[in-house]
Amino acid sequence: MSEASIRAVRLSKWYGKVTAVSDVSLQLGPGIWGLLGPNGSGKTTFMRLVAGQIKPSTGRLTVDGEAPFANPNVLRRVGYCPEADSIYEQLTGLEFVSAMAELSGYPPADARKHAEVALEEFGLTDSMHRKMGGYSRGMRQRAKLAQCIVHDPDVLLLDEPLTGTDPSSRQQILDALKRRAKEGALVLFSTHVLPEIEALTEQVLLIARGQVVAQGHMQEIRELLDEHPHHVRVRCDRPRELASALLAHESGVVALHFPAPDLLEVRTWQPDETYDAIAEQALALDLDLHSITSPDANLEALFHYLVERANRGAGSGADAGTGGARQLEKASERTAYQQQLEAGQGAGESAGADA
Amino acid sequence: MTVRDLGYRAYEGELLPSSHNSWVLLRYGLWRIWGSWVNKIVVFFFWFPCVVYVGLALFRYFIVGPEMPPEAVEEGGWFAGPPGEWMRYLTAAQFWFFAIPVTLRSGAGIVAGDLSHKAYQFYFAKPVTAVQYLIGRAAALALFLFGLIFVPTLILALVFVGTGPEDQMLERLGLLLPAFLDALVIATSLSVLAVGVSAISKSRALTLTAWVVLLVVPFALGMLVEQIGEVEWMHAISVPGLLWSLGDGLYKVHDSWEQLKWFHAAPLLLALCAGAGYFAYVRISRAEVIT
Repeated sequence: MSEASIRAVRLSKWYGKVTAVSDVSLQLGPGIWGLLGPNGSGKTTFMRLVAGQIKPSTGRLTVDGEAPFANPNVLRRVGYCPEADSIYEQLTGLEFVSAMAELSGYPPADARKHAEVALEEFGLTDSMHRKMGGYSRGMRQRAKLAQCIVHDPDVLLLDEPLTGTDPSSRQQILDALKRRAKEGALVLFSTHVLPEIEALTEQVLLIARGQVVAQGHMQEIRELLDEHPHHVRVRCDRPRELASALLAHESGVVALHFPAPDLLEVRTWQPDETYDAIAEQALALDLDLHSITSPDANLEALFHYLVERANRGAGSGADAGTGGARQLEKASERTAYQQQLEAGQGAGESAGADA
Repeated sequence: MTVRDLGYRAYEGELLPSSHNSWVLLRYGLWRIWGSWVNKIVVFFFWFPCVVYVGLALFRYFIVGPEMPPEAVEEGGWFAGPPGEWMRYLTAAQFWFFAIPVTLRSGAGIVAGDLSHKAYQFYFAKPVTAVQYLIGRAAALALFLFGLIFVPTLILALVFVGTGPEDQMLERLGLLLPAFLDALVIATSLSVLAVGVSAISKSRALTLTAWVVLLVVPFALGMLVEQIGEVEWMHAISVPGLLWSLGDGLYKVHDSWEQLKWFHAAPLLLALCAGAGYFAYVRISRAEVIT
């Protein structure tokens, strides 16, 4: 039996005029992989392609060495946990998971036995005989995960598996997935929440607008988050005075904007220094400081950055096909991004004009 | 602790072929049908017509004797009619009072429910094909409907066998075959049509409306045209009309209509069912959605 693997070469999927997955090339082996992307980025479509539920429009996709679409050999080795919260309310957890095991080819008695073990693994032993209509969201999620592993697959595809789970069930799920990966399974799980990935794996794929915009180590993603320009919003009584002081200060500020009379928006390359400078100047100027917030200290901003970078031709999903993580060329990227910012900003938004 | 410690082993037993999937879907489909309170009520009451007919048959046996006198038969009326005619009436009662409510309740959402909940994602992540899925779904409903129609007619037929003259025993036993085939045709047709209608939309309300329109409107129109213009052909556009005509042919007791015969109805019903099945197949094959 071949080793668990997913391999895509220039894989694309269109729905009419909408491109859901575009020119993705990658190769994944055993272990846990986080598929990170904002909502609507193509994560689910990619998962469904790998799960053999939809046919690629172009390109080649193999799972464990075979094309997954309508291929029972592959489908028996793949466990898919869809995002949809669509579980039959009339069935008990045990009936549902047993049915899924039977559909994977298990005889009824074995299916039931395996379903009990799978439900036990996700902490549903006590409630397996209850109708799923009475399950909480977290319990439904765990029942879905149990059906995903019940036939002992070596490729697990989990679409937002931690949605709606409480901390204790989250831990149970994470432990179970780690155990699976340790056994040699390939676990690909999607999320748009960074800490979920961090809790599980160091290997990350970033997908945006249907393209794999980066593939690599979690630490690199963290660095990207640190190095792309941040927005900081300061609400105070004299924002223009603060802006002048920040410009005079060496705090990496690249742009200033005043969306409201009491609001200053700072764009900076060095968020830590900027926060320090804001605090320092607020004290020095004796400002009446109401709030300091960052609207984009999240993945959306990072995806935005990477997508813009991809659009500028810095790379495409096909780059990932080499298997190595793409390293960002920090200096050139920063300059290009800064130039783009400068070109795109209105006169009233530039630091010089406003400050 | 590893997964293996919890009892997990790569499965070493013989895996059943994927053709087994329809059977699995049928079994769990039956559970879903049974889960509806409407269907539970139907199961509770579906014996009643049978009890009434059996009571009347026994009453006739004890009052009149095993065989109706020829003059009573000539006078006509269903009470004096042959056993086959009684069974036709019992089938009609089962059809309208029980099979139709179950078909509306469970048939309208049989595919629509899975479409709206995106439950396909569970099924088609397993080695289940669209055809297996459709067969499993339709078969569950068909089996349930078959039970509702055939079991009472079987009981009535056996009562007629037990209470009839000895020389007619074989003839009366022969009624079991048309009873079986009639129930099978009704159950299969309704189930396949239900799957087709249910695949029209994700909205169960819409598919339910479509079902009501398909079953009731052409039938009512057929009856109206028959009454006013004495034209029976309009029944050819109604599912109950086609089924009734086929039933007449199977029982060979009497023709409800002069013009619409079973050999007209059979190809029409077959075409309708094939169209519904194909439509459902196409809809499921194209059930890709951007999520």
